[in-house]
Amino acid sequence: MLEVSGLNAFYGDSHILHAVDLTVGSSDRVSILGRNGSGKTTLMKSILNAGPYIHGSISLDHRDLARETSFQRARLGLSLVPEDRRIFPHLTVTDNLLIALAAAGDRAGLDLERVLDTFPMLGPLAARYGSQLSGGQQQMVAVARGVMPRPRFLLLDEPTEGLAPVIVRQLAQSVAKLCNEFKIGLLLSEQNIWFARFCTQYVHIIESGRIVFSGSWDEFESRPDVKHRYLAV
Amino acid sequence: MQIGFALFNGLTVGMSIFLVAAGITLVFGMLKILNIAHGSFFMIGAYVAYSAIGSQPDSTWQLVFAAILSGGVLAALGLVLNAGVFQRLRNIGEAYSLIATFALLMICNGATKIIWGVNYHSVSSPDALAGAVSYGSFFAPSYSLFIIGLGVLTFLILEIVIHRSPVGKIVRAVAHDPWMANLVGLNTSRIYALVVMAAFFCVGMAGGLLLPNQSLTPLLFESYLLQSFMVVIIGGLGNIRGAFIGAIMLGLIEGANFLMLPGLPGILVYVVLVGFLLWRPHGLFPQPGADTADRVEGMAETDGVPATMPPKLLSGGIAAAVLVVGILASTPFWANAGFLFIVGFAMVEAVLALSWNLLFGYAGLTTFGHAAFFALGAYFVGFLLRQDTGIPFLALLSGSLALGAFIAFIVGFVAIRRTSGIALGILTLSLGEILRRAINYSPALGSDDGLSGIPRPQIDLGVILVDLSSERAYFWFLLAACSLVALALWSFTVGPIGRVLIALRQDPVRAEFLGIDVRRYRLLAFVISGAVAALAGALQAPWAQIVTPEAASYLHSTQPMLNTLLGGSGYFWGPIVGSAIFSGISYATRTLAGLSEVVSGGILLVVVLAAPGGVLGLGSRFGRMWRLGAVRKRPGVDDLPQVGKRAVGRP
Repeated sequence: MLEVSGLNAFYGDSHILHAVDLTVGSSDRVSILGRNGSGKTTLMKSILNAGPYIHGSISLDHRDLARETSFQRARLGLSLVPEDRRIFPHLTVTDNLLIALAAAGDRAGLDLERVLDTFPMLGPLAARYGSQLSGGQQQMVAVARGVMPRPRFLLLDEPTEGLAPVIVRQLAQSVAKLCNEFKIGLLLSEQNIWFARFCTQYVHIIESGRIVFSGSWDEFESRPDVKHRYLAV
Repeated sequence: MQIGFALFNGLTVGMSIFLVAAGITLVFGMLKILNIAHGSFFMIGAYVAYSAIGSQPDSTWQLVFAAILSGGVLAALGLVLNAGVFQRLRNIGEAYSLIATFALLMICNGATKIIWGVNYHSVSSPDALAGAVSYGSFFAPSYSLFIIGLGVLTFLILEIVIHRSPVGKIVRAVAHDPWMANLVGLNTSRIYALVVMAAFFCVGMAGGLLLPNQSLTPLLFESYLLQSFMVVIIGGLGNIRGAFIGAIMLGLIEGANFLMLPGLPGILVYVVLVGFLLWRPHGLFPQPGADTADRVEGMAETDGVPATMPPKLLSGGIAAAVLVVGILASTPFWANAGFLFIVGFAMVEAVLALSWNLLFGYAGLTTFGHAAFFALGAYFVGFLLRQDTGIPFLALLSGSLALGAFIAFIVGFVAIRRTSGIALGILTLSLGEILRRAINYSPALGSDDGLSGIPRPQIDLGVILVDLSSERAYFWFLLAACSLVALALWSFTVGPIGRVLIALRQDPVRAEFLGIDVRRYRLLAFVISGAVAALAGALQAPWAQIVTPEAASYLHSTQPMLNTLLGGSGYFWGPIVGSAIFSGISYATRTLAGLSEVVSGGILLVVVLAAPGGVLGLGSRFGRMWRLGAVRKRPGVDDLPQVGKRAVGRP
């Protein structure tokens, strides 16, 4: 279980997140929706202690993470796929995946072939270098790299940004399949409601660094005012 | 046959340099810090090995074990420095990390003098390596073969580890994107520490292995410093293959120099380097992420360092300036001759530093060869005064100003067009070294000894004849001249052109979009800066009454940088404050060999790490906090917005 409570996050003078509370049960799949600049990425990075200055508590399976650095949190089973993907350009696709497995320390991890099979697009690209991939291919590699150590929770930060609709559908299927098959919890930040709905069961809406709505997708549908107020542009 | 020997010797030199340069390349590739102190670490490695084996090693194995011991000692030193210095330097600008490693160089050199003394030692080769291997009429010293073999071996090991092993993949991933490497679970700080230790091990071992070919003195750091720099610049920063090829090229150039210009040793490399930098400023193998291409324009920028600002309080400034000039003018009445001499030097150094900061703090250019302009002016005036040509002194000063401007125009016109960032720094450094060597080999300019006994002039103002031959008279003239130059520079920087320069230092790209011709303004700043530096030299020649080639050396070039950063590059008067403090420190520690460098280096290091804004920056920050009451009333833990304000976060 991933628990965030009373989380405040800052970039220099700017107070980005205000007392955010969020709980994701084991193998639960949860979306965070919100407009640009609402604090989705900051929340993701805060959970990994990877950038913002934070104040508040974050715990994984009732273990307080206050003292853990980013790499220790990664080894405990939190895997962040950042929105800019950050594939290692000098490594091949296979090596990009294997380095995540090697870095994860004691985690058992997943089988390389099975992960590659989940992303039909990646098979033929296994020997390509990271610098030779298109945006969609990079996103696939980033997600594959993220699940390699078989994390407790996968944190996907706006994975569909800039992807073609057909790629978005493929990615949604791969993500849902991986999370089902290997019992990986998912925290997904998105602006693409179709993708979020396909991949997750619950939804939180974030606005100006505060969680303003939490509930199932059915509850979300029954509140058109929420959608209009916080997500419409 | 002679060509064969020259090539072989060149190869030996090249491999020796590669052994030293491998460490610089590793540190740069990993931390993006160009470590100027590397030569000093090499020297410490040599001294440690010397302490272990004495001047006559019994066997080759003893030499090798001593080298490994040196490597171990240096690796431990690297671990300490990585935690204490290098990791802190990663978040501040390139120029500042260069200065910080220069501070390390001073500390190391001073410590070496304190620990091992300043005497000359020499170490002979072990007997097994003392002979030569002959092949027909060609013969090769065994020791040279030993060095070449080790160079190639070191290259192969590094090449395989970095480019072909799983360890290398991880190391390169961390070097390329430490943030993401951390997020996939790599302990990046430990990997940084290990790579720095490996680099220091290499340089310590090089110190031990190359011991038998050296004369061991505290000046040893210099012998490989510039050459190993060139190697990494030629190869492309952070690229081990490039460094290897660069080292071979450099060795062959040295060999060619020996054949073609035996009277001018060492000059050809600099000429080739200048040409090379103009041709390929980013080296043979520029690496994505390891070169300076994406950051060249941002060299002078760092977080937390105030950009140069126009002053606000005019009346206070005038009062302070009048007070300082008044105190200085009274110096001859109460100070002894030695102190007066130092004050005079400090004033000249302050003018030199002001001219350098016009480039660094205003135009956003970092040059490493400013002393060359100083030496131009000093030699110009010194030479002509000694000839007793009868040219009026003020005309000589104007002449030095024009000479400095002319040379700066030529250099700047080419250099600013082709290079920026580190490449510009190394280019200007090389030009300075060419000048120094040219002077060194010119009998008309006194060669190594320089020009001594320069007479102090008289100034004929038509009505009265001002005689400057006495110490006092020249001191007052110097004070008047330096004050005038400082005032002129100040009014220039607060004027419209000064404001344009400030704008293009802060954001050259945006300035360009606003329609400012960035290159033209930078060239203008370069010309003015060079002219003022030459004038500073011209003023100093009759004060010191001697000019030596050291005036053009890169060590002298670093003086204005140190003064500026110590005082605060974001303030027009910062360089003057820095010069005063530095001169005070060197006066106070002048009798203690070594300690003076340790103290100056230590202060500089603390300033760069703790207060990148310099002494004035620290003062103004403290003043602001005092006014806000923040010093007296610390914010409570629950006062979140306050906590956030002090938090350091990178988006």
